[in-house]
Amino acid sequence: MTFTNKETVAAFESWLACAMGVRSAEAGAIRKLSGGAIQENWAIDLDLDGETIETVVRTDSPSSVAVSHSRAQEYQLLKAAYSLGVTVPEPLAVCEDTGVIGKEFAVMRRIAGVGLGQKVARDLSLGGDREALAERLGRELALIHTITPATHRFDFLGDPGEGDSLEEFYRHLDALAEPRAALEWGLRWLTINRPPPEPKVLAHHDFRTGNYMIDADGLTGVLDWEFAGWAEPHEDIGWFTAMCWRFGNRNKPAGGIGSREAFYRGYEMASGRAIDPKRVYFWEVFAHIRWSIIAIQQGRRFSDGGERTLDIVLTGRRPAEIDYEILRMTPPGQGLLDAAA
Amino acid sequence: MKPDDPSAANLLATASLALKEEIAPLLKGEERLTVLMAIAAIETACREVALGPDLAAHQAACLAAHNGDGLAESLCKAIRAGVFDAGTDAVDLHARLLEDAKKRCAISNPRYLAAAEADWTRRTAPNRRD
Repeated sequence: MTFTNKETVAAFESWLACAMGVRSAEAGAIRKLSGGAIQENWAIDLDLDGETIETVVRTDSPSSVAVSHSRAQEYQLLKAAYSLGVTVPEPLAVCEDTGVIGKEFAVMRRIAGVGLGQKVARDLSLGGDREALAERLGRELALIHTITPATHRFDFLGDPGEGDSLEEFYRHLDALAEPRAALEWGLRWLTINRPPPEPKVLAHHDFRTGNYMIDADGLTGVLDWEFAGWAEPHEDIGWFTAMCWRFGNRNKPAGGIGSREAFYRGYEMASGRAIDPKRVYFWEVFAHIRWSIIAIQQGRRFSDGGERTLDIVLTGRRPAEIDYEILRMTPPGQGLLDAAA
Repeated sequence: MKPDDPSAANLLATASLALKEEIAPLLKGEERLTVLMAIAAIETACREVALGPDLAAHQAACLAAHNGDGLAESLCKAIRAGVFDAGTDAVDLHARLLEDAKKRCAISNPRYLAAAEADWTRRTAPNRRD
């Protein structure tokens, strides 16, 4: 447990004083935040030369996955988004020197609110007017998508001309070395029905309910940038609206919190680009395949990694309901045109 | 000879009931969540005891109907190669795969399945969506 050790906290304080250009940095209250299978998040109250700042320090958990970015890379993406005015936690400092606390970490200003997907979807006392929230989230996503290979360069993201989400998930499926007929069916349907590619933008790649925070009035921040990368903009839109991220609110396509129309309106007004429902449908099918594979990988942490947690064993059983949605969305003889009509 | 009573299903159901009625009401926050997840895990196991044999039979029949060697790996390869892109075989396989997903979901999350079935049935035309 990273910040439960006095020496670690002391090393953190002296590094931070230097990084923030202050004479003294003292950590007050420290608590580990719940959630985050991949990252550890610590709420740390800092005293910087007498000024109190509430922060979150984000670092790797012992079970971090190789496909996600490092904390320093994620920090760069967060900084780019912050400087464009995307509603994200303010990035304060990042440490790539693993000699300080034993691993990379990033320090962000803490934002208030609730992020848990179930609660966000169900507790209507939060988030203000839900249609306004859906529209706002559309605007935020459009703003993220103004980051393009032409405007920004991130060495760790690779060549935007390379990499294909469909091929990537065929590879992930093969790596499971386990026959999954429903996923093969879904991926085949996507292969047949694939629309021509669009120019890539910075896709958040995990923009969904559960990964943003809201308070009583509305959005307080978009979180979890560790999977961001160059991809087609509709991929993010389909991930947000897919049935698997509506938390039981099946009739609220905008992340289980609002209407498709409100979310699209926000996105289209802010981006000046029209959303293509056929493409969204395509990426919604893809979203279920992606989530199913992630759920299988999570379940493997039990069988391969010996992690005996309820969260992991139950997630390992999620693919049944995800496969169901994939098959419902992809009946034979129904092309993308019919599906999204 | 016969297996001892109460059966595995009864042991699991009783454990789940005790947690639900005696323990869960006493807890709050993360501890309550943990117990609720434990109940979900036990109830899934309970349903698998009851419904597992039917699922296994369905899966075997599906594999036997659609490829010579009866292996799931071969079926997956055939799907990827485009063997089931169209035609009556595609319609039959899709129906069987959907049935398989429903049977698995009836074990893992019957409440989800009920809501999803109601929703998909409501969309009378195949191309109506939300």
